[in-house]
Amino acid sequence: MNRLKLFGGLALSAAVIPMLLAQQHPSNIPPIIPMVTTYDVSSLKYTPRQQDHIATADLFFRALHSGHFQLVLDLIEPPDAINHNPNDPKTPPGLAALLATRIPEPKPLFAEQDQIPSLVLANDNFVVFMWDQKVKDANGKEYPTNRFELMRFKDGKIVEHWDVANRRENAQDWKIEWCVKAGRKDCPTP
Amino acid sequence: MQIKVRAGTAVLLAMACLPIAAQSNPQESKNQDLAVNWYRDAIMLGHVDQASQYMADDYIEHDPRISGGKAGFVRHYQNPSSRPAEAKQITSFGQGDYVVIVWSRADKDPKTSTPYNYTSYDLVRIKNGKIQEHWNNAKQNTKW
Repeated sequence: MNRLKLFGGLALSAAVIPMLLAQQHPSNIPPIIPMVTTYDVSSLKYTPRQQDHIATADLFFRALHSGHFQLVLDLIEPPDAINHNPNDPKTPPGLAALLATRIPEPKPLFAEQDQIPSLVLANDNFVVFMWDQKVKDANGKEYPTNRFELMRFKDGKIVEHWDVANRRENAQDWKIEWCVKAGRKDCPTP
Repeated sequence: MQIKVRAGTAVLLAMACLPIAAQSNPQESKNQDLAVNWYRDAIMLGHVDQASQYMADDYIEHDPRISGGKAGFVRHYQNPSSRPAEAKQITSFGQGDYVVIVWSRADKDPKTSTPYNYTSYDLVRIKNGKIQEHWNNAKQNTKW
């Protein structure tokens, strides 16, 4: 009887847990992302596995830039996830604490059309996004450049991330600022 | 005979158990070799006399520090101070006509001089066996 109950409980958990997990994610996730590009991308073909990785990476960036930090954490795999940005915290919870100081109120998830990449390459474990962007020179004049992000996947989750950040001149001050805002007691002193 | 059948079955089973990896096809691997060799010879070592061997005549450069297509590229990398230092390759792969190379570069914190690593990217499009177009993450004041 006890064994029957145990099996019944397990079966119920198996049915309910995925439903609960699914409810944490928005239902309007596009199956494959658009690329807004002027480049010839006719030679790029993706496998279903690559498409899954690309869709996850796209969702990650949209969630990141619109303040949906729980969703960001859901898409990466703690505690093994590695962030190679030399300015950001190395662990996902540290990253979430930092990001929460930047965007306190979440915005609509799919509103950031400027986050649409101009090129996406993928192989078995990696996805690279490239964006066309404009930055300002010392005189305030805009010029074109490119931004890139690389992600490594394992079992469908993001386990490693590289972007193009250099260490900022004011890295220490900036670290203190996010640390204090995150309410931590172990912040470095200036 | 039975041994052969069993061995054949074992090989087939072993093949079926291999991870479904999106391997580059031979053309993509060839493109990858071309891009990596071009980067090493023309950019890192500054052998711009070999540019024609690697690059299309109507080459398009998106690096904001370099203007003037292939001729501008040659002028830029003729100057030893424009060439990047040695870097460790994180990954490179080809897909379709494109190849991406991702580098880990060493630098020092401007304030504390503590060594750290950062990432840079090169992406090329290949057409008719030559580098046709190149993008990277350089800004106007990027040194590497």
